[in-house]
Amino acid sequence: MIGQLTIPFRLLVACIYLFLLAPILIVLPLSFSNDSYITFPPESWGLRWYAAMFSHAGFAQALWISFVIAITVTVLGLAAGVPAAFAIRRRKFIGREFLLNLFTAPLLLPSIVLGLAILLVFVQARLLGTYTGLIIAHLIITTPYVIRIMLTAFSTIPPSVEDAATMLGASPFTVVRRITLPLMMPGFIASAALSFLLSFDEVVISLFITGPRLRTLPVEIFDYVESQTDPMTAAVSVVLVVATLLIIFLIERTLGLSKTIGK
Amino acid sequence: MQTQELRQEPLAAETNPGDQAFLKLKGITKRYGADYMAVDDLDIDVPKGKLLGLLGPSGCGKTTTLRMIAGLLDITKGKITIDGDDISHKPPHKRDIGLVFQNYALFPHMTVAQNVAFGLEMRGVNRVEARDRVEEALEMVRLPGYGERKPKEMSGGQQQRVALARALVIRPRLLLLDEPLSNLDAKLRDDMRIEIREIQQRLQITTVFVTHDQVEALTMCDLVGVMHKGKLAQLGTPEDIYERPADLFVADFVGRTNVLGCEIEALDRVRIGASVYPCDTRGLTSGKAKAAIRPHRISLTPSRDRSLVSMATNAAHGKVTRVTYIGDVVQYDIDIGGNTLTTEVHTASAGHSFQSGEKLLCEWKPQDMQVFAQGSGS
Amino acid sequence: MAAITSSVPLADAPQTRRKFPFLLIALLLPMAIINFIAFVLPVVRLGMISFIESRSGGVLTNNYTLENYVSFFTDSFSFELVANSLTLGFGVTLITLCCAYPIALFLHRVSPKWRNMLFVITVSPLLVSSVVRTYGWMVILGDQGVVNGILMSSGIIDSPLRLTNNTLGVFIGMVEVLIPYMALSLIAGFGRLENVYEEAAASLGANRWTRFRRVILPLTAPGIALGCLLCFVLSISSFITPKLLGGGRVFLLATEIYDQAVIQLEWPTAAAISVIVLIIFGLALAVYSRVVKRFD
Repeated sequence: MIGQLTIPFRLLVACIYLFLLAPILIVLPLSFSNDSYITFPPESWGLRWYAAMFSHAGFAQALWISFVIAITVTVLGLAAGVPAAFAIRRRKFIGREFLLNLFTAPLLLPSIVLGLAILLVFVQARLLGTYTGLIIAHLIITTPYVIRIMLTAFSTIPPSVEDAATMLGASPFTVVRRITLPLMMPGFIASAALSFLLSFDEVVISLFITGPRLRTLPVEIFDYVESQTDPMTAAVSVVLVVATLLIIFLIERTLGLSKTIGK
Repeated sequence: MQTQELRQEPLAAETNPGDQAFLKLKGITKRYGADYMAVDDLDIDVPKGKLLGLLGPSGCGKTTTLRMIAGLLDITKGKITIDGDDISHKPPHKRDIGLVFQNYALFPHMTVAQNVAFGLEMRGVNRVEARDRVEEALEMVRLPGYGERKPKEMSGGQQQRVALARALVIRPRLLLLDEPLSNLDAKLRDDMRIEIREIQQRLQITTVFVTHDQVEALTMCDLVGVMHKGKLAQLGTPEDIYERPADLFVADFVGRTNVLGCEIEALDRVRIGASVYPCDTRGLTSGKAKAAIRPHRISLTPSRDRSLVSMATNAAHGKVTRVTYIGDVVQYDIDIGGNTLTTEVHTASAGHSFQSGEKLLCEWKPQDMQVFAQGSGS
Repeated sequence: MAAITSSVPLADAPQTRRKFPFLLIALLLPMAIINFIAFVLPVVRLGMISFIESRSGGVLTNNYTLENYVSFFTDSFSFELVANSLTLGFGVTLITLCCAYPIALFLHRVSPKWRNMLFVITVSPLLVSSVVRTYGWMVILGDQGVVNGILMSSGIIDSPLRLTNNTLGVFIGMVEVLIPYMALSLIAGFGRLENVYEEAAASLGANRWTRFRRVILPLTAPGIALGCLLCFVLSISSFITPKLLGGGRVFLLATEIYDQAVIQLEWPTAAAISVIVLIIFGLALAVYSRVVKRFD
């Protein structure tokens, strides 16, 4: 009796899930519409808007720009975040707690405020509408997550396995290569994936600092949605969702793989 | 340049090969901050092939000492030599010491065989030989054929054996064991105790064993060093430690003991309460002191005339205040004029069982009562 | 000879290791630089600019003044913005809680086999850009959208209902966007909930409603507090959904910051509004920490 899931309760939950997933689910059929405007259900079906999307210079270019930025942000974010997390977890120094709070603080700041703040600095540094500017701005979004995840990854390394390797004759470099790095791999991959997705999906801050010639995909979609109401956005959205799913699937595979090798 | 080759061989090596100090700790000190001494001026010699137990409560510095020998902690002061080779400032991975960790520290991402082979790999042993030696090591710890498993798939006791095999397969000069049994349940602990001792004796490997469990220390070790607040309270054979504790701390920490306040009457007798008992005061001639008697060294007989008791034994009349049945022994708390003595009687050998409130006579030999100066070892 | 003198005193000499920590600094420096350029510096600059004399067209003067704040607090439109934002914040938080709570409770009670899958479904919207999800709502709620299409073709209504370009649309979109955050917070706080407590309450004669009110709700209160804080803060600062589903007819602090900064180029005004938003954040955080203290 107690703790049981009654039928009305199950129905209620099903309705909420339907509400939660509705906007994502509706986009898929709509993307195969051949109509010139949004009607649901579409009057004719086809791949018209997918074709339009790929011939639309703005979207094609924005997709490439977003991809380049996301890859760069992922690499640089790991290069900066992983050593910082290592130092904070493994080294004792004054101001450790403070640095950790400082490095993860951008998480707490509303992105609209952070976007404006970055705009105000970048406008003077002439970084608006540049790759450098976008990459730095995205790094401040992704690195708090990288540090958080890597801190957890470092602390899940079982205590004293590194000492054990040392006692068996492994030099400090060998310990890092053979023990620390393999054990950190899941955290490493998770950070990389999340960094990529966060950067690839970032809108608010990008809206403040993209320029007319350098626009990321979400900014392009935002502007398009604001001005145009045709099903092309649906096609772009489906591509975006599929790309996201693909990345997650790849991670699941590699993580699953590393689990079979690793643990 | 050649001076670095100079090595002072201990003189004892020629005169008495059996007792040659193989592991030598000389004035080992670990200081944290300005004045906290985690380990304070420790001198220990361990002869080749012997098992030294470092025993003490948590925070006494025993694990710190072990980690300094391993090289995982820098020493503040002092010198550590193995077989005359000064390793005080050698990096840990060049010390050639096997270490078994309290939590085993098996590499979770490697199989058992890969774990055991790791040290061989670091030493550049070729694959074929390594495989044979790994299998040999696993057989030694009675885990043949477990090589392909992951540590996660093994029980605590099995992981413990793998850790031991991994530490021993490199044929280290010295084996260190850091509370290796503390994570096992009671029954398994008894088995592993015997097994570790057997392997240690078979390989004749000099070993340092850290434990807070006095039973482990007494039953397994050739030598026991009792540590207290960073200092070595006593170093000796298990029998020395148990029968002839150096101070009140050792007497109290190793085994259970009755500690009674007493007054020194003369070199050969003390007063406890109203009675005077003959014993060796170990040079004390006056003042307050503490007397220690092991519970099982007190024999109990039904109350009878004091005059019938031989003058060679100490005796006190008492009344049973509590009876606790523990299985193999019965424990009686006995009130002897203000002081309570805890005594133990083996249930098998007990000629008589006593009831609470019953009057009886407690007897013990003078040499079973140790006298310590007030505040010694605390 | 040098070898002798140098090798002897080593053993007794106290260790003089603490050199300049090059390695430590090398590890932390890249992160510190990023943090400084894109966080510390901008936030400080934002605060400063909020006190600069306002000139349109992106011109920044050197005259410091309180005027931006004074005009904010004397303008009735500002109060409308604050009121709208707070209404949205509280309203969306409450509705989101009502939607996410059943999900969290369901996940807590369902068998582990289903739990993992449903958990993934619950958080999966987080991986889809909020632009895409908002676009989905525009499709569903628009004048020619799914809802109006069904209602009109079934003859219930003649002309389309206004479901977008107004506050109602923003509410619906915001709730959907925030449900995963709320659900995650609630699930994190459900750890203390166990069936035995409910069973104990039942054995003492509590009916279903009383058990919910007196046992389940208090036990899950910390998770509720966390989820509410998160949703309030996110809805106050949200911008994409109000902008798209509000169709420029819903005026909030966040949309105003964007308009002032990007369209009007009135940066000092935008900065001042940002500082106001941060103050509201601070207040929400203070309320939250006081509420949480009562649970411990």
